[in-house]
Amino acid sequence: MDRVRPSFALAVLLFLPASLAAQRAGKLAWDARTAEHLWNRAGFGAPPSEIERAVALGREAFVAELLAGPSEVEEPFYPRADRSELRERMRELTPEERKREVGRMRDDEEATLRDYLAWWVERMVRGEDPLLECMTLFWHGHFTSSMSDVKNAREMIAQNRLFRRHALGSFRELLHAIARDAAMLEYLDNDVNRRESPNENFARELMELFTLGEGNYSEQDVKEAARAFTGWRHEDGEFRVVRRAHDDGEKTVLGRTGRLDGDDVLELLLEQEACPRFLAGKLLFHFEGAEPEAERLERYARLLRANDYAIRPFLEALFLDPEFYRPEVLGTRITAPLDFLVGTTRRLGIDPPPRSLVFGAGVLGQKLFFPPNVKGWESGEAWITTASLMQRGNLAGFLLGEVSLRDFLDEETSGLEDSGPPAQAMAGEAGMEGGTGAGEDAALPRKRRSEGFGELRSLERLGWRPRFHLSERLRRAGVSGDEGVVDALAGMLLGGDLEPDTRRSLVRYLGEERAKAGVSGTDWLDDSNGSEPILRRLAHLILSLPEGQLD
Amino acid sequence: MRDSPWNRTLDRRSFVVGLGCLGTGLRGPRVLLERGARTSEGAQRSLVVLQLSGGNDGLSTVVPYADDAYHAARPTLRLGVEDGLRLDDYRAFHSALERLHQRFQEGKLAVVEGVGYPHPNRSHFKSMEIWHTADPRGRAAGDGWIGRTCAAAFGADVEPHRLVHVGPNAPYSVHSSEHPAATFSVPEAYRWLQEGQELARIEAGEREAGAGSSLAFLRERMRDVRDSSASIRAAVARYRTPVEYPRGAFGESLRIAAALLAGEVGTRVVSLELGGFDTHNDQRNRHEACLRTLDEGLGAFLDDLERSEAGRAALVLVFSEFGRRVDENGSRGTDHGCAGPAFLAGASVLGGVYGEHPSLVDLGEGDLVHTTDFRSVYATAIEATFPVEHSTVLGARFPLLACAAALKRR
Repeated sequence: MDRVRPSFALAVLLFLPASLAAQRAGKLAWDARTAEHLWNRAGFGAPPSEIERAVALGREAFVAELLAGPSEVEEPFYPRADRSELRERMRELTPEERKREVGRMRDDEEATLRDYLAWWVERMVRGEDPLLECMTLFWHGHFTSSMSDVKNAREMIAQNRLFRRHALGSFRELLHAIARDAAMLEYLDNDVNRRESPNENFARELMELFTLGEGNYSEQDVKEAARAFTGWRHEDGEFRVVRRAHDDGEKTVLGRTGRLDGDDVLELLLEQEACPRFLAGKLLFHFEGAEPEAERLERYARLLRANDYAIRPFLEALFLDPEFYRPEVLGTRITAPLDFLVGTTRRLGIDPPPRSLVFGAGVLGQKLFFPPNVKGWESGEAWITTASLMQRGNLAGFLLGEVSLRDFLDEETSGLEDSGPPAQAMAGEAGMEGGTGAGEDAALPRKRRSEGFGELRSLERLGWRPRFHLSERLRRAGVSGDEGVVDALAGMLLGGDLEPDTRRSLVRYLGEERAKAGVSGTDWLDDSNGSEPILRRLAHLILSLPEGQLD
Repeated sequence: MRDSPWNRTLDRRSFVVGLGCLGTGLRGPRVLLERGARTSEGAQRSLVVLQLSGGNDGLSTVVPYADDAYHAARPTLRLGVEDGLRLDDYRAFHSALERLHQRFQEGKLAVVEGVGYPHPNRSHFKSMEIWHTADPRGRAAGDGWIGRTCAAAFGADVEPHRLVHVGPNAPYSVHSSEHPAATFSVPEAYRWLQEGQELARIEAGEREAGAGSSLAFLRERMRDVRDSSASIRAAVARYRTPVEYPRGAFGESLRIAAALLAGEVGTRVVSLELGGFDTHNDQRNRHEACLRTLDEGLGAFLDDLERSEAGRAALVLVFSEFGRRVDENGSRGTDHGCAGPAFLAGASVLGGVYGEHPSLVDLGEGDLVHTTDFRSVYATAIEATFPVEHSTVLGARFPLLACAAALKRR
């Protein structure tokens, strides 16, 4: 056995040997390990109770439950006054009033965006329809638009609703809808794509990133397709085709000639062999974290086409496919920031302010509504930089109540004692060197300029602390012994497994910490005052480990 | 690789550039005054690579104001010499580039014309990969060119902050399987809090996780973080300079770069990025804002570098990962194109204009045809900074921008 599967509940442990044996025999066992895998990949992870429930339900029934949505989503938002109305009002104002009004509008945009993202992440955490939110996020990373270009919260939100509406439905319908979406029309400049002067931005990304993939079309196809989308605009969010801007002449795209319009081009793209292959490959990579083998990719591409691009049957086949649960996939995916933060939140059963998760995901490189570029977020190893790896540990510490947001704000030299004189001591030298002490002035405002500083401050004022009691949980689960404690905590907190060498190190760490604190005896968990701080530190350590970044 | 048609085309073209450089009497022939692992002052050389992301419009940066074809291709975006800062009878800097123009006049800034590669790929992403790997296969070819340079220069001698990217996302150019880049935006936050510090006690290594697995990758990063965070934070916290950097993330990243170089913590390559250059519409205002940010920041940075030995030993390379079309589009912007100018600056650089401006008439599918192979620029940067033969990194030999003497000396 290569890996030790730590487990939280005893029942989980009993399932384990059977699971591995069955996998070796090529059959799929439905147990805590495989059920957790499905929860990880299709629902941001789950607490032990949910995993047990999924096991009890059985695989088919649980997959059916996951796919049953979309449930009626109640959105606590109402459409705001549209821009035409605002424009009217603006005309009647004095310059000062107008300035104030513009400032108010900007604040309102920011607040709307913040509220919406908090609501979205809260839905991920609550898990009422986990797969729906997973797929909404997938489409946000596929048909990207960014607030930094669109600069309109209403339009970005409308686009997100579109993703949610079609999340598990028809890719065909979603494709036609996204080509008419206001945020998309603006993001890829199609709103300025005119007959006299075509703008190729949308046509190019449509082929390269949305449907076919690079190498499956020519430069000429891009130029001609751009003409087909000329005149596709929106007015205050409502799609319309401006006839005089539309080029209805003859075009040749991907070998088809005619007076093609945008919808014709979309249908042509859907007809291409490359399209289902491109989409199937992207979905498989997203859910498995590994490139599919050629034969399997073809099988899934055919499945997409056979179902006229319906996503639900595709996912159903995938979640019932024993290959989806193969050992090379289980627990080997580097989690995306939201999988890490929402997953930790769900596994622990805590309730951090959703805004802190939105912010934290941004710190770790997944800023919702601000994808890095039109290609969306790059997953896998790209999530991990030296800084983001560190911040994952720090944010896990925040969720566990071990790290205060104040610590993020404190930029001073803690931890640098051995690295040289503290910053203040150097000020005199700067004065001598620069003659004016300008160096000192230049250094000070830096702290205030750091990105996201204001957001952190306002979260800090919320003063949130997690409510949970690890020693109590472990005691109730009948856990004992240092090895038992490490296994149980790792089982609860990790989406994947713990390597044997790491496990040994953690057991040693726990023993040393107990000795330091004078917490001992077989029933040391009973002494919550002594054991709880140690357990929390251990939990923080586990989530900061390399293994903590996998699911 | 040497025999691929891609390379042969390049070699021939580059060869012509080399001759052109000698023949046309452009300022030259040496772009670099000196080289070697250390400067004459004894400081270790270093390289700062700044990417203008999104595809900078070269024609609005180094403006060929005397070219009628330029004014014809850019009815709304064209800039006259009255808008620009004259470099010579043909070209001028955009008026926002005051500080860089000043440096040019002082002979401290080299402008390399028409930098690009043949058979250009207009996919934003593929083109970026080619720039980042210096290979037509893109990422399929392996590590980024800076990563490979470190591998050639330092071999198995790995130091965790030798290669640093300051910013949220490291470009693929610094991607290295052997010398991973330390990446951060805010050094203050570059540390573990509370129990994270205890990770040193969880030394995994009795048995290495399978090579190539995501766990092995994470374990390696974990080691890098442990080793690099404290000294990087210390270098930045200690740094004091009278130079005022402009407010904002770009100025901040430059200040951090200067601090790392001056702190002599072993950083030999710093990668930086300035975004916003993807100007498909409303280019005049957006591009001007980008260039102003560039000029203010880079001007301050170059002033700052001049203050220290370590700073004077730095070579600064500014490039954009692709160019833009010659003809403007219908949205007062420009679409993705090819070839543009690159800048080299630093105490070791002999300023002037290098290479020929691409023809605005003789185009390739509506695009400028490059006149300087981008790998000549890389080759120059590599050999100016490290005792490395550039073909070990780039797979073939390319003419160095210092067309003759200085670089041959070694």
